[in-house]
Amino acid sequence: MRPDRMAQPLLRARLVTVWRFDLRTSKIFAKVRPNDKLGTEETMAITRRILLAAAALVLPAQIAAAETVVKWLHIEANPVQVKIWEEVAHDFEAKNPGVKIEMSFLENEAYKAKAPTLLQSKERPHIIYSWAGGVLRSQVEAGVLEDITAGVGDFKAHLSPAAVSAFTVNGRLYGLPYTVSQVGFMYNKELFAKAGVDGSKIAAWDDLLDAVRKLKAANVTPIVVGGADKWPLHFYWTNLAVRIGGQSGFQAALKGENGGFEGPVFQRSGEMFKQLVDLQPFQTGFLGFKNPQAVGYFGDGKGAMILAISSFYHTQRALAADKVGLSDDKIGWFNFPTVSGGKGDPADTLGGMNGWLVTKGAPKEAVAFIKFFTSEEVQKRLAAGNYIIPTYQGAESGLGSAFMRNIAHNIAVSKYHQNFYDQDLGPNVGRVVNDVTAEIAGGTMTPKAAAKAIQDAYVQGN
Amino acid sequence: MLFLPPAVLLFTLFVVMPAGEAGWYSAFNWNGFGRPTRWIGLDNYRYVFENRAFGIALWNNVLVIAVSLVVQLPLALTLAVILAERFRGAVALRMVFFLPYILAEIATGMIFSFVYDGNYGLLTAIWGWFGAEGPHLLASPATAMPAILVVIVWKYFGFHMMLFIAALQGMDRGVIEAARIDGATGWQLQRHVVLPLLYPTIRLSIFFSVVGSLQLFDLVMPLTRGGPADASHTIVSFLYTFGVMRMRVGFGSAVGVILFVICATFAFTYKRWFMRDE
Amino acid sequence: MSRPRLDGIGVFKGFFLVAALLFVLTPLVATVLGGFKSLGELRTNPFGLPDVWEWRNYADIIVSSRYWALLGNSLTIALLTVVLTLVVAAMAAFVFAHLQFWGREMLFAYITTGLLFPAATAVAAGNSSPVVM
Repeated sequence: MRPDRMAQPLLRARLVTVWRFDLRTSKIFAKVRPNDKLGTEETMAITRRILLAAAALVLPAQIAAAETVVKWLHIEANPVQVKIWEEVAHDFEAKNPGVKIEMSFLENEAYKAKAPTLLQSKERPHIIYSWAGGVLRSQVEAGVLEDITAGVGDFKAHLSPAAVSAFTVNGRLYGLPYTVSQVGFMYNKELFAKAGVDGSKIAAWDDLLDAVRKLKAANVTPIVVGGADKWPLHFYWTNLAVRIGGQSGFQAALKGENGGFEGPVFQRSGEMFKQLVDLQPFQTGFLGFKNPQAVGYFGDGKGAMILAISSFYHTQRALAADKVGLSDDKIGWFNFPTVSGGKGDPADTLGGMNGWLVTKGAPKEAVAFIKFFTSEEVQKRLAAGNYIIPTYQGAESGLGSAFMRNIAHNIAVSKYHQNFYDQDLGPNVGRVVNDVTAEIAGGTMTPKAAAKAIQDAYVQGN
Repeated sequence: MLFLPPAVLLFTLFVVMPAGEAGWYSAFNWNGFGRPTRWIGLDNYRYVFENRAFGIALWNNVLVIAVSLVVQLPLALTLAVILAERFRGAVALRMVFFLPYILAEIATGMIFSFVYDGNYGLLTAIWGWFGAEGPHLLASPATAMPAILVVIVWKYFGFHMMLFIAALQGMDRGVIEAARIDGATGWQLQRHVVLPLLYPTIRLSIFFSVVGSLQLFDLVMPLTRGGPADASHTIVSFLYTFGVMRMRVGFGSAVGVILFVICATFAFTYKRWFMRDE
Repeated sequence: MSRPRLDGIGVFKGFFLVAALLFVLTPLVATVLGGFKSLGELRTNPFGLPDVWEWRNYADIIVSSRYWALLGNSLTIALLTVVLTLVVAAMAAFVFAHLQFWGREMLFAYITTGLLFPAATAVAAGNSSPVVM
């Protein structure tokens, strides 16, 4: 076929390879010959196309250069909260023309798994969610976060010092916390009344065990827990460790003193947890319940108590089967009971400190945005909806319900707010803590072996 | 000859290089950030073998293979023999039985976590008809894996059934007619004529079963995430849970390498012993 | 077409088919119907037709743009996979089928080993590879 009869290609090679298949020897061979030269028409066509393409590439860049885009990655699945956040983003955009906030979403577990890859790619988001703790430390070590100590300046004085220190590593600040939470017992007042238990009187561990026995006698499921996810179970063990060892106990274990996590404090935690487990207080099949199911189960009024993060107060409404859940007057709260002879202060709290981190190379508008997000006005707005316990000092007055105000008070007076163990100890040791506590609850591991497993994992390092 | 390099290139890029990388990473204690720097040699492999859950995962994989061979294969074969003939509705039935295979594994996992739900699930409802309280299959270490095995059979028997139907329809009718004329009864016909003719397909089916079983992951995660007390882990879910989720890339890579060795060994021995005439 | 046999074998076949049919269809039908029920009704009436047909459940999905974006992703993956595999594999198959060259057996074995390669291993490595494209 002669070349001019074929459609003119955009670009042509100088040499053309011609394939031939020899039927006799069943072999393919090639012949190479020079191509015809490019005609003038062709050259014009090619030049035109190249210019157009170049223009197409350059123009959008010109337009985009006028606007800064801040990429914001969150893990919030509750659509109502996301809507409010969108409004906050719009407000910020209105106050700061030329800035656009781009929101994107990843589910909790998927986010944790993808984070390392995400943070090392060029397309990384500028603002990411964080639970502080060990993961934050490894991210700082890897150098993927932006040091915003200077950018934040004095603003941080407005926020709760404990929360800010959670986001400070080696004296440098890498993000801002926007909510704190506490872990404690949320209980169903009606079911308690049915069994003759007074929630406000439960102060010591033995009171709790007593209450469980009374509830069982009254044929009420004493405690609901999401065992399949494991971390709801680790709350029992870690709270006991906080009560038994206090802050000094935890710090000592981190340094490896006293046998580290194999030491007496943690062994006793395991044994006391086993005491509770032996009473069989959980709902049937608790090891198959994922956390949302368990919270929904509590919201359905099927269980008397749940050792919950304070935010469950809010989520139990959406997760209950009838989408209404338990109303305010039916829910009570008591802090995790104290342990006799424990070194921990009864006012100590265990809970989360969550916030936003800024990744390396992010525009300074990202810092401005997280400052805006944690400003008094926005914090009060979110607090009014009971979505958060604000970190901005003074914004607790904006909290919508007495329940949340109580939690905020608990955290404010606490001198030692321990971050969730499975966050604080890092992804590896943290998950080991989850695993072994779930095994104690399932009866497949002794407290001693559990403590040893944690210490071994801690020594192996992250 | 230029037709070959693209295939080899793609293969090397997406199969061999990751395998090599996995081997390289398995010698480090690395959390995924930056480059691996903490060389620990074969320690990761030691940790893998010391981990109690790994033994359980291996055993579970063996169970899956066993169930595939002992339950799924005969089921698929029987259905294939019944449906290979042309009677009314045979084609429709074949389509119905093939449906589960088309479903994405994760979707199947979610469907069955609804079925198995102890409080609101289908099984509980069925038990309720007989007046008993529903079993919490996924909450007990003893019943979690069998529950998953049922899902596996449910999902894949349709595929194997289609394999056998294709083979049966491609069989030489003449041989069967000859046997029937010679006086073979139905059962004898199946056992001595049809079955031997199906051996190549059965071997292929076993090959697919085993290779697929070794890679089982998507069904485990939505149902049990590895199950109460690690009872329902498979090798790949073990890799994901203990390696990727804990940011221990070296450990995960070591598991990956072990899995690769198992797969490769199986494939080579299988080819050598069973597929000599291929 | 052969007429169904009503003797022992036929009855056995019939029962077997029905049992298998129930085994396969029950979860599927229950799920499809369940999509029309509210959560509370799922509890009380898992099998039957829904009292109230909640079209909203399906409608919400079809209307949401995220669903179509995800579907688009799946379609892209499917198309790319099919096209790429067909083209590359057909080319390679042609070569293996028609040509003789040194190392043919070895190369063939090399490539077929890829069938066994657990995708999981590649994920573990690729997930954390510093080579991020």
